[in-house]
Amino acid sequence: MNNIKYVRLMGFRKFKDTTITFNEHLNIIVGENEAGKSTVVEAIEIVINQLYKNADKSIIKELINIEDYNDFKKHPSIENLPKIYIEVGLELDTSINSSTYSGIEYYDTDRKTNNTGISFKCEINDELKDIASNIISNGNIPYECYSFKWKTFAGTPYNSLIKPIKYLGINTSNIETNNTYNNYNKSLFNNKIQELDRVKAKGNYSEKIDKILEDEIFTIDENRKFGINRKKVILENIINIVEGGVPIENKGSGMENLIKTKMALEKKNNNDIISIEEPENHLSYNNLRKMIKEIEDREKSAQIIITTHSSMIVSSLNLKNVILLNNSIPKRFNELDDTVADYFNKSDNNKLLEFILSKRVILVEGNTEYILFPNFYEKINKSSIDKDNISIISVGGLGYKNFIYIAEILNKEMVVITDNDKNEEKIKEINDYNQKSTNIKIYTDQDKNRWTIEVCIYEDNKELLDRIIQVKDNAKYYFNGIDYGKTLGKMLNNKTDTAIKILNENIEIPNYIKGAMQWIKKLC
Amino acid sequence: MDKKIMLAVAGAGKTYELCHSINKQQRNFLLAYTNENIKNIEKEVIDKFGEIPKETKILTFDSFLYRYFIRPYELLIFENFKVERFETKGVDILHTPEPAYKNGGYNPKYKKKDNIEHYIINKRYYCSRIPELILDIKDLFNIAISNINNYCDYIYIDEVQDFRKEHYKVLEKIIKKCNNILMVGDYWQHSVSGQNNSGIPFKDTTYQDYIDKLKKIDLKVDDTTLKKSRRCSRNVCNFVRKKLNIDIEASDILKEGNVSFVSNDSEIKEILENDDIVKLLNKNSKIYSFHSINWSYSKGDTYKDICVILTDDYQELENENFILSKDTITNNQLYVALTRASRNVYILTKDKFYEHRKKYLKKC
Repeated sequence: MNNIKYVRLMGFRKFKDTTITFNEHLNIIVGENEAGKSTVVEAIEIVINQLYKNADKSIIKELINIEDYNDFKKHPSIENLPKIYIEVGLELDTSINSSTYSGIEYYDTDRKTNNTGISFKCEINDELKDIASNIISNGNIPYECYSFKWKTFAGTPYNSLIKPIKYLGINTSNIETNNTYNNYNKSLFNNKIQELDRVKAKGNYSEKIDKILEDEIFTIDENRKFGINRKKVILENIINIVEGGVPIENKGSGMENLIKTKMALEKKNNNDIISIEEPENHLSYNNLRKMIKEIEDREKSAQIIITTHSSMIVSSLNLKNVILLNNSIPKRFNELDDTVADYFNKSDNNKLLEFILSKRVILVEGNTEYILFPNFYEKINKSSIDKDNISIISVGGLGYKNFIYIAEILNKEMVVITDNDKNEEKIKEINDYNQKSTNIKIYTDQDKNRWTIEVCIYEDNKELLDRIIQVKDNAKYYFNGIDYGKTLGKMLNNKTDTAIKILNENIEIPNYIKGAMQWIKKLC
Repeated sequence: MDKKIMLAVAGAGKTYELCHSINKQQRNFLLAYTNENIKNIEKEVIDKFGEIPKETKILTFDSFLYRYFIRPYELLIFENFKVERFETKGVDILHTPEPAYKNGGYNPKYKKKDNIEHYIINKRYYCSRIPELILDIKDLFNIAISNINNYCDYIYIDEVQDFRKEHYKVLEKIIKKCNNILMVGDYWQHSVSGQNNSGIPFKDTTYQDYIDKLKKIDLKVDDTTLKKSRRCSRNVCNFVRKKLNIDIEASDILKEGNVSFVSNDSEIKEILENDDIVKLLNKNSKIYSFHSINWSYSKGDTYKDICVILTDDYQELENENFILSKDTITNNQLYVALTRASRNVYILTKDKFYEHRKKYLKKC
């Protein structure tokens, strides 16, 4: 099936030189704000649909890489002029027409392997270099002398009218504001309607446009009258989608978003590749679930590219499909173990995305840790977790092992703080793990009698806690049927309340926690 | 793997046979040397399928080479010459590349093979040097042919006798490495459009030598299926066989038609002035006002009645003791001319023609 294998971005917006490899079916691009998620989608649109083909050259100013721009400003010369190169590697069928996309006309090759794809180049036009030299020596970039060139890997000029794959993009984040290019409607129109019918409709349309003012007596003088500028009323630019007599953009952003996605995903609408930017926008929980279901249904028969900030989308559409953008080398999870992906799929963990995006992590198991650790960190390290770019993430239950797999893939710096659960085996396992691991350490109390954080805190602060935790004479405070003494018993039975209560007390921090905090601080 | 060449005689229906061998479910390249041939192929394919099938591409050999051996691999080419990459603009057919020797001496304008200007002028590739370029760049041919094999099941080539020198060398490599190939050609029509027959595969090569050469590159040679002319009458075929020593037979579809030498002045006048009878001249047919064409340009054409106007070499053609000259090119051209008619062939000797020609010269 036809799909995008990779996109290479050079000198384009925030990317100096980055290659993103795609999965055959589903791709979920995640990353912080400004990580370049939309830029990747834009790049695909530039290459395959020839976005900006007819745009004013001043757009180039927005598209070039800022570092390239600054380098040029420092040393203005023809060689230092910023340029953009984008390459989309395609997986195509082996029909004879695909041969016009195949060759070694792509960047940085071993010069031996034929590949299929399309490239886009934006740089100064060879023939205009002389004219531009004046502008350049004044330290300015001669955008007007730039040209856009699209080529297939076979070296043939590329024309999106006969594109080998049909791409449709939905951008929900600026659905209302930025509709100048009308891309969605235009692409759907082009993908859905046969070329012959389109040409007919366009001819019809311009014929009628010419007639509008024909009978009017809008004369200027003897020889001149007012007419209509046809270039400004191109059919594709004003095409609209109407449902039950109502244009869909009048239906509210949420509905518009849902309808557009539904249409994009419908098989009969002939889209090979569909990109959906931030589908969670404007959608209620229920509608988002619905949309995810539709994406899952279509997933195997098209290539879908999603950008998102939603943990729900990440976990329910399978972590293996995630592509993380956070530096120049994107991270993929396609080799992640199925059972791990499955775990996140089932657990619907709403911390998953935060975890993936975090730089350094303190991974904890419960609420007590989550409440107390920011304070502990400050006390021990005389700094704050925000300042040191550390996220405290609570996984609850027994799941930390699954997070470790992911942290390993991402080379994340992470410390796990866990209870030993009275389990010698677990302590040994943890110590073994720490022997091998450098970026990730697990801390737990080495004494199996100190089996949970409450026990450790109580034992290290008996006097203080006996004083501030109020117990009733007639209550037993058994925990799981065992008598741990009244104060500790109450602490175990009311973990969250206790944590809040001791939050502002000057307590002695158990040693294994101290160790963990000091270790992660050293990495900062 | 199926690799075959069918050797034919004039009017045997080469293009028809080739186009009717196509399986439209398969991915095919249909190639020929000249644009006229390409037009004939397109017409034949559309006759057969109603349209050009989606998975079939028809193009001249030169554009095939440019599109599948040059353009996708310019990175390799520029790397080879160690020059900075510039944007090329296609193929040049206007200029003849400077040869190494000119007027009996070394040509100072000649660019050596290690200079990219040997192959490129004004950012365009010399059309005639493209095959040489393909053969000169390391790995280029192999990378390109493996790409072609990925997208093509069958290559079909019409008028294979038109391929000479470097073009033939590249063709030979393609034959060896491609998936499947079917070629048709008429040995006796080789060199008809060229100035000379130097270079491979025809220089000092008899019909039998040629067949042996083809067999050596593992081609199946079929010289029986297309040995009967569907165009020409029995009388014309017999005449050609006898006078030109070419093994041509008429097909079983009986065709009326005669070969006659015309000497009667009024008859000559009538023939020259009848525009339904096409006059075939060795060259310069354009200077006459009557309906005419050069021998070599008539290749591939069919007319009803023709009048072949001979040159000095064939003054004695009518004579029982006529001996064929060693000028292969002109002999082949005459063969082409004589086999254009589906009915009558009138023959006019040069001497006879010169008695009348003045009257038909176009006014300048």
